[in-house]
Amino acid sequence: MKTYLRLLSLKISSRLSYKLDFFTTLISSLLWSLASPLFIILLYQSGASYPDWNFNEILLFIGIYTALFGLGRAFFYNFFFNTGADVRTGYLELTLIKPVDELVLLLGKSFDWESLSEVLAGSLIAIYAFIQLSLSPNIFLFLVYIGLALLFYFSMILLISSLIMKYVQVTRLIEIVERFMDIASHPKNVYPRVVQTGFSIFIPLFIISYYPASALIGFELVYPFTIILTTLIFFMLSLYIWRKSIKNYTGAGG
Amino acid sequence: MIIELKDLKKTFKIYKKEEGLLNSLKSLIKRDVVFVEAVKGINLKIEKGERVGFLGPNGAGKSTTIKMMCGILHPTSGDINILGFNPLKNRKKYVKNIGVIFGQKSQLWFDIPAVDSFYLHREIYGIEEDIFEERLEFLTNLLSVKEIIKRPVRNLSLGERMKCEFIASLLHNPPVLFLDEPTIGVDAISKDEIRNFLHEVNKKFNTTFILTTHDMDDIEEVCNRVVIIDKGTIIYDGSLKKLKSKYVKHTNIKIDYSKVKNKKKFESLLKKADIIVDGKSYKELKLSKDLDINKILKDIMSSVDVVDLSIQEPRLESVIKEIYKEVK
Ligand SMILES: Nc1ncnc2c1ncn2[C@@H]1O[C@H](COP(=O)(O)OP(=O)(O)OP(=O)(O)O)[C@@H](O)[C@H]1O
Ligand SMILES: [Mg+2]
Repeated sequence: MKTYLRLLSLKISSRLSYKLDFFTTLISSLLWSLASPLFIILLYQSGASYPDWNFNEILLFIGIYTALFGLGRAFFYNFFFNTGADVRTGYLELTLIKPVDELVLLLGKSFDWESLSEVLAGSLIAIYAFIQLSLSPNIFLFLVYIGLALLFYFSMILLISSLIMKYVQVTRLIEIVERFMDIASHPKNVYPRVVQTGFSIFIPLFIISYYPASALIGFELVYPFTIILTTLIFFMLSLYIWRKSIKNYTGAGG
Repeated sequence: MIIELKDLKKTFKIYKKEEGLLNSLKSLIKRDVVFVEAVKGINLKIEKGERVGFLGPNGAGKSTTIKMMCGILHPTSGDINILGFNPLKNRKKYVKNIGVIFGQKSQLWFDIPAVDSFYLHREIYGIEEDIFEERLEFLTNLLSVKEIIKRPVRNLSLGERMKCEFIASLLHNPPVLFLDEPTIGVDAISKDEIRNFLHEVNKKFNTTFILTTHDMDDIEEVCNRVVIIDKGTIIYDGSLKKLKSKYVKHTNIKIDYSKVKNKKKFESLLKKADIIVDGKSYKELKLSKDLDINKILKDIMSSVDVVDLSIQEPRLESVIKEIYKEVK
């Protein structure tokens, strides 16, 4: 953990050596993320709506989704690109000769401060909606879900990073995965039953938006433990696949 | 004995990649496989404090062997025992005991001063503060890079950066140091500094070195043992001296003289040698190792008035070239 924190601080200081760049990206992406609920505002203004969700609830949903995605990005997104690049260049070899888990080193190197603006924007939206709604939420469950959501995001990244170790040039994968995760940008109940069940039980995709939002709003959740278990299993599976890929890593020539 | 390799083998599986989207998609399902036997059964024992040079033509399998010893690559078969560890079984513990330098890859962060990377290193290896400071002091003094380590690495010259790499890989005082082409691209003076540095480190800490290089001077000045690898197998393992006496079959003698005193003796002498340069008062002779060089030198002295005379052993470079040609 100490190593991870030290890596983060080094990461900022190396990033800060390009100060201007750092702050302009931060501000522009903050503005961009704040604009994300615009679509919903327009939708509800025109009289349309999501079934069973009122305006503030959906706003809360979007805020949480945006913040969680931002967190996922901040912690894990670059992990994929760094792994891909390190495999291509052979730099992964240097990671493997350090007496620390390679995940710690790769994650520490991958933290993306700019994505925190999404987190900030999402949180602001969520807090605004939360206050409007005056709810009595299940905070504990909410926090558990947040943790699991991040774990799920990381699992997805681990899976595609394992793939990239084997099929070196498929960097577009992450776009496909992000489009796939966009499914979670709408509430679960707009989808057909099969999709709802599939993405709760087999690939726990809805953990990243629907479940934490529901815990706050107080929607009754069927089998909250199923999704907890599924997410944990999903994570363990991806971790196993990752470890296996590291074992089969063949390095770059030299 | 601190390193033992037993019948170590590594076969790479390479998937042939084809151009075009359709073919890439196809290759996700079924791929053509080619096998490359990079290391084909290496046996090696190394004692503490030895300075071993790995030589061999490009693609011989030197780097692959080193990477297996570092725990990066999993061998296809065979055993590795280094300092009592199997590098793959307990990788994180094992790598605390080794230092590694890949000349082609930097382990320092580019945008920050090397010294910051060193502090990260301290964290990662769990080195105690005062021990760390003392070693850092010692190493930076030895390489005279006290100021250099405070500048961002991206602003350093290759030689300066390389010195910082050496410090990084030795801060935790590993008993074994692996060096894969550590002097690549480094100028002559920095090379000298690095070689001296390695000597000092070896003397002071009895560190074991395993070094690959294409620069024979590295070998001659740093190593006391040479392992030549070709096509994944060891073709020579022994001291540098023995290598030379085994493969060096000739001695070259250059004679600059003013007057021939004993023509008959001189001519019979010339008959024994290959004459490479046949000047009027200058001869360059190639003499077989079987001849008694001392006697020949005496004969030269007594048969001509010598102005200048020099004896040359072939350099390691040309010896190695001969060996590579032989095995090809
Ligand atoms: N990651 C890899 N995947 C597939 N084949 C590899 C890989 N790394 C090395 N090889 C092959 O294994 C053989 C040995 O390579 P290696 O890098 O060990 O040679 P080397 O002795 O270090 O050569 P050089 O002096 O050029 O550095 C080569 O034929 C090389 O093409
Ligand atoms: Mg090599």
